[in-house]
Order: sequence, then C-alpha cells, then structure tokens
Amino acid sequence: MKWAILAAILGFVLFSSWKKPRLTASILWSLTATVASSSALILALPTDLKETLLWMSIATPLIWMLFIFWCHWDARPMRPTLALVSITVIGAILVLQLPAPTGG
Amino acid sequence: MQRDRRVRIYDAHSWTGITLGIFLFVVCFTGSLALFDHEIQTWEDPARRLVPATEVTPVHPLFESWIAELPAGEITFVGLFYPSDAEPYYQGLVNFRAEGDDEPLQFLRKQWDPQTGTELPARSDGLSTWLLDFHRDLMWPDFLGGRQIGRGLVGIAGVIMLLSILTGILTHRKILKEAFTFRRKKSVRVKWKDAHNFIGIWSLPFSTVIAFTGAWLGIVALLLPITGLLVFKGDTEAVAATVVGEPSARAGTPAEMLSLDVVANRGHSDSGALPAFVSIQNWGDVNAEYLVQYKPDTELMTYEAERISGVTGERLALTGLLQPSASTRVLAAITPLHYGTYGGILLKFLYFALGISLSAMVALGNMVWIERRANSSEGSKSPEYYARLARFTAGACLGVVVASPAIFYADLLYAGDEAGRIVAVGQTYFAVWFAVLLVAMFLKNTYQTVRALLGITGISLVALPIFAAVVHGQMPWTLVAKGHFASPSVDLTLLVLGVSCLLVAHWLPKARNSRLRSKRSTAELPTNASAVPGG
Repeated sequence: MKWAILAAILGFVLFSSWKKPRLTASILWSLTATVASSSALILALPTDLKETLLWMSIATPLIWMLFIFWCHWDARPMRPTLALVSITVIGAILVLQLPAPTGG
Repeated sequence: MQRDRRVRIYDAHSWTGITLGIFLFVVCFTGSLALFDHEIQTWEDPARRLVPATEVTPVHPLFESWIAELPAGEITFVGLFYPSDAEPYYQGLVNFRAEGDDEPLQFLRKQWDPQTGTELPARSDGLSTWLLDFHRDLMWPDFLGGRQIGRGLVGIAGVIMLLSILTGILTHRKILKEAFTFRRKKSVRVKWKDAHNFIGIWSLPFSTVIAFTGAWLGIVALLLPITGLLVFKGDTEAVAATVVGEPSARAGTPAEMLSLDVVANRGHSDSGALPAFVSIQNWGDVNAEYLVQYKPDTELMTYEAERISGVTGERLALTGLLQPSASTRVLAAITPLHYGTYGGILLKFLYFALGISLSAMVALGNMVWIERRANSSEGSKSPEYYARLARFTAGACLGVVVASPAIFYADLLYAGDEAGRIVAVGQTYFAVWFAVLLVAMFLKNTYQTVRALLGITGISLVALPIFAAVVHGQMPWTLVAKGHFASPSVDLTLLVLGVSCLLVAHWLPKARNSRLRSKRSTAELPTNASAVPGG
C-alpha cells in the first residue's frame, strides 16, 4: 500500500513536470533543489561548519526565490525543470556519500 | 528585455498576486499590529497598568520562593524580565514538568509590582498573544502539524513577496516616472494602478527588508531542521550543538544563586546599559549560568548579552550564536529589522504605516488585475465571475481589518475561565472574518461594501478607548497624570487609527466612476436638454 501511494505520487510529479514544467518546477523542484544544494554545499565546502551552516541558512530564502524566478525567466520551460531536478539528484547523492561532520 | 520574457515575468508577478495575494495581505496586516504586542500586553490587563516604580522591591526573594514552591520535577529554563516602559513590572518565566508527568513542558509565568512586590493577578494569554502569534505562525493547529508548519507557511509568504518584488521591478520599465505619477482624475483602475505602483516603488527598501527577514524567520523553522538533519544524518543533538553550542550540564551540587537584584544593577561592560532580561540555566546548581540580556539601544541587534556564572557572577565566554562573527551579526539584526525594535516608538509607528501601505498595495494589485479583466477584452470569464472575485477579495481582506478591533472587544468582555481566553479571542476573530466575507459576497456594490466596512472599523476603533475606560474603570488621563504612558498611548493610537479609517471611508468612491458618470449624466439631461434651443 505504502509503495503504491509513493508510486502514485511519483507518477503525478513526473506527469505534472512534463505537462506543466514551469509550474511544477516553481512549486516543487525549486524547493527540493534549495534543500539538497544547501545541504550538499554545507558538507562539501572546506570552511568552518557552523559559519557555513549559518550563511547557508541566511542565503536559503534568496536561493529558493531565485530558483522560482529562473523557472519564469528561461524561454524553454523544460530547461530549468531539468536543471532543478539534476541539482536535487546530485545534491542528494552528495549528502548520502559525504560523511556526517564530527563537530563545529 | 525580450517581449515574451517580459510577459512571462509579468504573468509570474500577477499570478502569484492573484493566487496568494490575500494570504500576503493577511500576513502584512497582522504583522503591522504585531509590532505593538508589548504595549498591548500592558493595555489589555488593568493590573499591569503600573506607574514606573520610584523605589523597587527586591525581586530575588520573590522569584526564589516561587521556584521553591513548585512541586518536584524538571526545570529546563528560568527567566526574569525587569520592568520597562512598555511593561512596568517584573515578569518571571519557568519551563517546568512535574515528576512522573508525561505531558509536555509547561510554560509558567508570574508578574510582580516592582513598587510593592505584590503578585499581579494571573491572566492567561489573550489579545496580545493572538496578535503576535497569528502573524508569526497563523496559530496553526496541532492536528495539522503544529505551529512550526504555520511559521513555515508565513516564511513562504516572505519568499513569494521577494519574488513579487523582483518580478515587479522587472515588469515596470518606467519606475522613475511611475514613482511620481498619481492620476487622481482618471478612472478607478488607473488610480488603483498608480497607487499600487507608487506605494510599491517608495516602500521598496522597506518591503525588501521585511520580505527577506520574514522569509528567513519563517523558513528557518521549516528548512533549517531539514537541512540540519540531512547534513548530520538525522542527529538532532549534533545540529543543536553546532549551532547553539553544548549546554552546560548540572553538577548536582546545590548552590546559592547570585541575587537577581545584584544583576539588575550590573551595567553592560561596554555600553553601561542595565539588563532587560536574564535567562538562567541549571537554577540552584553550582553550574548555574545567567545569560544577561541588555537592550541594545539603537543598535541593530535583538539584544547585547553577557554570560555570567549564576553563583559567583564571574564573566564567562560567549558560545554558539552569541559568539561574535559576521554571520551571527547578520542573524542578530534580522529580528530588529523585521519588528522595528531598533529605533524607539516612532520607528515602530513608521513601520506600522509602511506595513499597512504594503497590505493596501497587495490588495490594490489584486483589484487592478480583476478590474482590468472585468472591464476589457483581456478577461476570459464572465463579468459576474470577476464581480464575485472582487467581492471575495474585498471581503477576505477587510474581514481581517474588521476582526482586529473585534478581538479587542472580545478580550475586554471575556468573563470565563482564564484558560479559555485565547480560544474566545480566536473564535471571535474567525467568526467576524467569516461574517464579513459572507456579507461582502452578498452585497452587489463592492465600493459601498468597502466604505461601510472601513466605516465600521473606524467607529469600533474610536469607541474602543472609551469602552475600555468604562470596563476597566481607569481613565487614560488619570493614568497619564500618575506617570503611566504605555496604556494611554495605545488608546491614543486606536483613536487616531479610527479617525483615519473614517476619513478614508469618506474619501473612497461610492461606485465605479462609469456608474457615477452615467447617473450624473442622467440627472443632468433635463437641464442640458432645456438649455438646447427648441429642446
């Protein structure tokens, strides 16, 4: 049942990304890309952990807003959608691959 | 910019406005009222309308005996507010859970008169809490995820506002010209459009700051925990330890606490300012720590802080978010920038005026969109559809406006159990909001509806100080004569706001220009006809 619900959600997201790429990217993929890229950058950057975390938190509203804006700026609707999906996937892979920090 | 790109950006601007405009209006309007929560807290409770104390009673014995009277259990946090101009009384706070209790931690509060040391009558959360918390987290119910979700939604409103600002700037090609354009003799739509552009351009720095700080304050509750959990692979303690530092542990050795009266007179090491608040960890333990917070005067900070030993008073190093760095400095400026706490009461009034104009700008933007489609070939729906949309927008926006003074009355008249006060305030808020929305949907002439609702708001605001004086039996001038200003200043503000609402209601048109024009021309017909030879 759980897998059926998940498959239905995934199917809906893929369908809406294909039919209404700008809208889906603005609402969904911009958010996932923001979270995934922020997390990956915090882990990957060789700077002080606490400072990076705080600066990323300050930048998060701007990153999210700029991702949404990009969805409407680009002439080709699929380009920002694919880019945001890629950022989400790459960010998620990096978060899963990189070890958790040991301290500030 | 290419034409099709400009059209896309304009579409993004208008569609975010039309779909989320009412939500933005609610957040902006409630935020304007939330600026005065400290002043309203003193206004709502006659027992707290105290005269600034000439000689203060020591607070430490009162505070100590209150903590000692608590049943055995877990105390996670203890705090004390010292008297201020807006809140001229001591206020103690304890986060407590009784032994063997499975319930969540209780937040206990107690107030004392600084002059006499007598405990002020207990009063539960009501009007001021609603005004602040409805703006901060929409009082989002627990069964839908709790306050954190509500706070996140308000943060999303901030992101949408940032997007609207950016798309608005790019859409308008003649910003400089539009900043000085207001065509008073043109049609309603042109006037609304000019007002929308005028307010938008002149309040641009303010709205950008409010949108960014509001987005951060909201989103941090929603996204920072998610990001933190992803980075630390689900270890919530590691997130907290990295951001706010490791909390000091209890040693288990009881110790006499440093007197809170000594702390009250201990000026800040640099500014010499006296403490406004002290938060205490490990109360009664040899490892107790006081975080003494000082009002930063006009500096762009929530507070200046010093960390001292709760036993010896020795200064300790600042940790976590209190450690000075560029990022913590930026973060410390976010709340004062959002709530206008860095420049005294006049700045708060400026914030209030700008906040109200921001709400008006959002509502005007929506009305321009509707009016444009209702009265031109641009609209693809029927005129009745746009008329309904206009009525809904007017009702939903003005519902919040009318409901706001209504909860002042609800709090004044509430006579039930203290625990139910905030529920009664909330129920009144939504009942009035819904009633206004229903009425607005039924009335055909939206212009008249807006005028009538603003008139009702004006009258209820003007009557509020008089009503409060009768209910509480305290005349504002008597309080001023005694030297108490916080509560009468709220009365005066309500009076000024009421008169302003009445003036705006009087100034607004009774009907759409074209309808007025047609009425006027019908009325003028016989005269004109008789003026024509042979007519």
